[in-house]
Amino acid sequence: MSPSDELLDNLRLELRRGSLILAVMAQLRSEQYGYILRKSLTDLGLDIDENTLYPLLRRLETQGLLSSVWREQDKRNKRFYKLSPVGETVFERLRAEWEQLNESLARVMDSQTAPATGV
Amino acid sequence: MQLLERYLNAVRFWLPSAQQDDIVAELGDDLRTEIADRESDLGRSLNEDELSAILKRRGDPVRVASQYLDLKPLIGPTLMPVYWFVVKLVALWILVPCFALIIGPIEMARSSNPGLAWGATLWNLFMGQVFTFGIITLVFVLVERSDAARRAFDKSAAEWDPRTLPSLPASKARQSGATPRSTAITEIVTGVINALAVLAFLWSPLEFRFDQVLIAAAPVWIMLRWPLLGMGLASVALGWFSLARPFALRERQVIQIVIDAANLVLIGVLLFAGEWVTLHANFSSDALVNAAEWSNLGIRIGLGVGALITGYSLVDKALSLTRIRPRTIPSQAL
Repeated sequence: MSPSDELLDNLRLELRRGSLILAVMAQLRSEQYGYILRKSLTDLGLDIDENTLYPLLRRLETQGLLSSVWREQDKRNKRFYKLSPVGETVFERLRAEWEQLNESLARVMDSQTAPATGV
Repeated sequence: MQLLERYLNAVRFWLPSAQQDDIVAELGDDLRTEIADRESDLGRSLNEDELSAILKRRGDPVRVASQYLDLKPLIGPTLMPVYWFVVKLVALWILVPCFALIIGPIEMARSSNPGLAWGATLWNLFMGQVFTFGIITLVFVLVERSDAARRAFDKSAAEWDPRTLPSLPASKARQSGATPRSTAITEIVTGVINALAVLAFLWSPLEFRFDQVLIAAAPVWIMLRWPLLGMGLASVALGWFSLARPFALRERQVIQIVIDAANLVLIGVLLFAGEWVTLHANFSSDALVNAAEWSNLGIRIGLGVGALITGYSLVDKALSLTRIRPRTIPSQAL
């Protein structure tokens, strides 16, 4: 891997980091367990590594944004996650923040590509 | 499935004990679900190679476990610059000179094998630096984790006033274009004091009598009185030059380099003499001999320190000479 590829990978990770939290919270508006959550995110175009997803779920639960419960399904104990009431409030605010950020970023991109006008 | 259990057990080893069962249960369920899906696609059980490939893709147990750890840096970004400054200060500017100029010469004087003495000194310096590094790191780690310290830093950051910043050092003030007046006056005063001291003490043989012991300066001091007087007068001249032409930075730097080089030569000649103080008495005594040895050792150390400081100053000025641009008069606008 060339140095620029490595740099690009690191920058992509930085770019994705905050987005993944929002994506996970969005999906957990309905109850899911980890494996299905990961598959549904992948199907929607957002690949997430298991070693990233599960620690993220635990961290969000520690922060009070998710609640979890162990339940038996298909003869196996699975841990189901869902947004907590606090998590729902935080998610809506984060979503608004993200939409505003998207609009601002779009304006920044447009301003850079707009042709220069002379006087 | 023994391979899977071995993998989960390996991950468990690196997890915090309070969370091991919970994390391993979830991780195990995820892997079993993935294995079951794969077996369903293939229509058969996985063999060991296929199972191993799944576990390999999941990652090394240490790496997997580390993702669950709530890792905080030992020393955070706020304290890190202070930490490195203290480590460099102690390791380079305190320990090295202490060992090189004081402990090393003392050990060498006491030892019958100077080579071994220096080897032991170097080893002790290394161990001292390791120990010091450990203690400094421990202190900073404790400060980093102290709520009281964090509150103090937050308070300091909130109440910080730019007007309380320290004044520029003279070298930085020069970058603004002129030699500070205080620097020039200091040079004049110290030059005068040095010259008067040479005239007062070195123009005839210097001797002190304590009880029955006569302490005499070695002949090398008299031999060098004119050069030493010259150094004092050179400092006075430099000070007057800087007062008269404060913006002549390059010229001043060149003069300082010449003075430092001459100082270095003088110190070298002094060091070469080997003896700077003699003790005389009507009686012979081991204590007298020892006192003379210790006195000369102390002067040797002082001269060594002086040589280091002068050498550093010379190199620093020579390097900074390349950074001082000649003053140009801006052309008038048309």
